[in-house]
Amino acid sequence: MSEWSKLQSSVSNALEDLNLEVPSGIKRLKNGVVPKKRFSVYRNNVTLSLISVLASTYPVVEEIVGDEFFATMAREFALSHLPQSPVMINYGEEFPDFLKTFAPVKELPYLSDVARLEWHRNTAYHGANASPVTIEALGEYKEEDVPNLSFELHPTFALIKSDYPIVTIWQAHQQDNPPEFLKGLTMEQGEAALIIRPELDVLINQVSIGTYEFLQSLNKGLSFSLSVEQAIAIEPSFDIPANLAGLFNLGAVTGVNLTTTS
Amino acid sequence: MKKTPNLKETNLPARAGVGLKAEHYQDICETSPGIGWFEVHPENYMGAGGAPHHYLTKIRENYPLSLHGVGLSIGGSEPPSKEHLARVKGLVGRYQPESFSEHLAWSSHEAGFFNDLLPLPLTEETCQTVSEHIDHIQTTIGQKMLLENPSTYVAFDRQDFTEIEFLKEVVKRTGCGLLLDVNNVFVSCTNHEHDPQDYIKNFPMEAVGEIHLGGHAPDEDDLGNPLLIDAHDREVIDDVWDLYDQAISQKGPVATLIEWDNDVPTWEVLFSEAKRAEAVLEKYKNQTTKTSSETKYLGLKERVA
Repeated sequence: MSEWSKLQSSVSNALEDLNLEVPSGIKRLKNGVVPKKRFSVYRNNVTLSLISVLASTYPVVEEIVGDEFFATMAREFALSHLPQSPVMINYGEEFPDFLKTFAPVKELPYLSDVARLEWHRNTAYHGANASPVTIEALGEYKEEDVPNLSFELHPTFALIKSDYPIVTIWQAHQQDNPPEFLKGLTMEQGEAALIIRPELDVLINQVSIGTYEFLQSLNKGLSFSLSVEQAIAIEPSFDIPANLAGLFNLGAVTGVNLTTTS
Repeated sequence: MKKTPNLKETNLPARAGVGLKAEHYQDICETSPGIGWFEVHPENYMGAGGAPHHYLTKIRENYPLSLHGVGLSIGGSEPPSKEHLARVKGLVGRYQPESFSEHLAWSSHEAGFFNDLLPLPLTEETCQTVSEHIDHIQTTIGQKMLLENPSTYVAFDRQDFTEIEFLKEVVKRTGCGLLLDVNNVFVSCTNHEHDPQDYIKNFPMEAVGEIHLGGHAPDEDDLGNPLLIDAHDREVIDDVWDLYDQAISQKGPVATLIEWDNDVPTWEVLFSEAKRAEAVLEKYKNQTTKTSSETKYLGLKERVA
């Protein structure tokens, strides 16, 4: 192992483990004073920069718990989850899971799912572009074939379901006065959402449980009719034409294929 | 090491530019400001699609572009990550930037990526590895790169070169150019008790393809001495503007960037900082520059015995 490689390892360890001394090889100040504060500039830069990356990906989580508490939480996450690539737009995928196990936020059981929603939003923002097709694409098929069609969905298409009203919470934090917006909300009310970025803006649309099942089935590659069956099983009043039109109007469908088996 | 022939040269206009921030996409597209060029961190454009690529594509159609990397970890003991270099190469191919630059620093090690520009000892060994890494990067992307002098807060016991000597040696071995960050000069010289004017005087201006200006945060070290931190979160201070003036008087007009990455101001504030740099470039436009025949060989003396 080269001299620099060894020294780099000890600097690297001291950046991760704040209890370690400033590595030898780093020049002491006058009278042999260990440049603790100078070295801590690097330690601070590492943690503060990662906290700021997490804050920009998880702004609603930050608003819910407050800047200071968020920083404490994000610091703890960052020190145990160093990025594995320099592409910061991909950093923090494990943060929602971390929140689930982070004892100080046990009182906020919805926080992890709100974070999951925000992660999907981040992924959709940077996801691949694709051109949607309109509902007229169905006209190219015989009426009896329509039940057997399967849909290619937009690359940024994602679904989320929670035991908590995470979509309403998320929407509240897009407003000036979240507590006012959330007045009277029952926390035990589960919600689901479709996240997609057909153009430049990410759309977060709350969906019913039937629509969630319908979309989830389509996303798995099931045919239109099988997906409808799944939806009706869970939501007898599932509105087929409205959901079909809604999906196309959103720009969520990028291709239509005839499946060979129904 | 053999210098790779036929690399595309750095070719930014000798004008002021700014770091492109998502906050300003709309302003720029709506007002088409008369600014020389834009710079981005390629790492922020490594998603597959969406708004970042949409706006960068639009803006790139109308302005020269510089890609300024923060992730290749050139100063590390290990070669730059293959995957990351491939991503950089992809963006260079897609956007055909007038310049690609990176830092004399490291950011990745076995544990992962630290998201900061970390210091290295300036030794024979690191001079060799840095040169090999740059050679590899230049060959891979097919373009000459600029290497930036860092802001540093600590020094190392072992030092075979001064920073300027080190940079000169890397230029000699790889044919790369230099990105002179005048704020970093001020920050590092203050932190290590060197004279920033001397540093600028001795800098190999013939290799400079771009200059950076930015704001820093003042603090104190363990002994109560000034410790400046490169923060990119505020205006450039007058002392740094003076050093910049000195640099341009030596070099002549060269592409100059205002870096403002944190607490990003309104477009107007950022643009007015760029105009201030443009005025300095304008001032020296018709002046014959002192080529560094007198300063060129001074650096040899600086070499630490």
